[in-house]
Amino acid sequence: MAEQTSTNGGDGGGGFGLHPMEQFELSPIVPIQIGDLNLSFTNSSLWMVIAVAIISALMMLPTRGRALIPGRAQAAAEMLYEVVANMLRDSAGKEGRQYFPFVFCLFSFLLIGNLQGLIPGSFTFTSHIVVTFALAAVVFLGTTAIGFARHGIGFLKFFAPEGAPSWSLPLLVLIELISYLSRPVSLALRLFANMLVGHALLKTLAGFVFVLGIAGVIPLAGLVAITALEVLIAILQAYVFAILSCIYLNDALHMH
Amino acid sequence: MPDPDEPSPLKGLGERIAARREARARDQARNSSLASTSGLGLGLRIATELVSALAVGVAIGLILDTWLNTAPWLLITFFILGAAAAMTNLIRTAKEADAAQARERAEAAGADGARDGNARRDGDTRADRDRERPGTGSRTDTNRPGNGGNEREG
Repeated sequence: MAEQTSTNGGDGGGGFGLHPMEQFELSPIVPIQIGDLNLSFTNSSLWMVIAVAIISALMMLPTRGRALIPGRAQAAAEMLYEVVANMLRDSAGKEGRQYFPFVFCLFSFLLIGNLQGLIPGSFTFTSHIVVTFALAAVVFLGTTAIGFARHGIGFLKFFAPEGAPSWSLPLLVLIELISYLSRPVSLALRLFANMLVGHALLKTLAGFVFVLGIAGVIPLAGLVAITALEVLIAILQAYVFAILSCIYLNDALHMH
Repeated sequence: MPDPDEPSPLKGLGERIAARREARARDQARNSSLASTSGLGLGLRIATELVSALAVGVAIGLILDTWLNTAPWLLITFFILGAAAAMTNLIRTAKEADAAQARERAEAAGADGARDGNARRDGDTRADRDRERPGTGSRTDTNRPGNGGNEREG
């Protein structure tokens, strides 16, 4: 991140022209305009393609040999598989198994997306709420559809808390409904906000390094610590997104 | 040819596998506390849940107001309902975090027992943990099978 900032700071003149939000700007690489739709292939799309390529390479190349005793790369691939399999089994039970491919894709896409965003000069596509909300909406609509497919109209009982007096039901159902509708929003918001704040913070702090001259070692030390924290947050947020999806899936499968 | 008197090597294999599997599940539950021990993650989760429920309430209020021309009454109503939903979310998340913490503590106690080489005590603490789980009764907790160490958190 520091290298990336140094060039930008130089461009802005004297380091004061630093733009912490510049890193989130979309720039079309291949402009595509169909009617009123802007379908350009942007830097965000490019890094999504790179993420998919990394995941495919990690999953397919080392496991080609199907070694009984895995090498390092195969062990990494198997570990990723096991993390997701355990997560799904622990939170959604046996019936959740059939949704494993989706959860695995979701988790690995977010994990690689978050981690590659920490490479200086890269683009973090998870720092855009459009991306995270689209993923959260897929999870939300999918789990709701599964819930109705499994329980039919009985899934509506999900919104009526058990044991509540009947006169309070209209109020409680409304509150439960809002609470349910807030799930995709909070899912999207959490990932997006974590990524946005982390990267903006890193860049702002990096600006101080050059402005403060010799005293810049203080923010530099902070940068090192925060970069380590960002690695943790990148992994943690991908994990949280995936596990909350599993829990919503569990709610849809088993109600409560 | 295998000696008929010698016990088959496959005898008790199922039990050995089950024992290993259980030990592994316990280890995993202990090691995967990445999410639950992160106070920062939990704080952010609660914050986003507060904000998002309120935002959804306000959005519903605004949309219904423009649709039914009742401004500002539905906005006010749904703002309050959104705040109530936010509090519901908050309490639910806090309860889950509490349950996870209690489970972790029970598991840590169980691990100590195992380290003493006292299998019986270990079994007892595990039973305690199992007894404890239904009591924590948050809504995602029921119907969840098996060792529930590393679920939901943030």
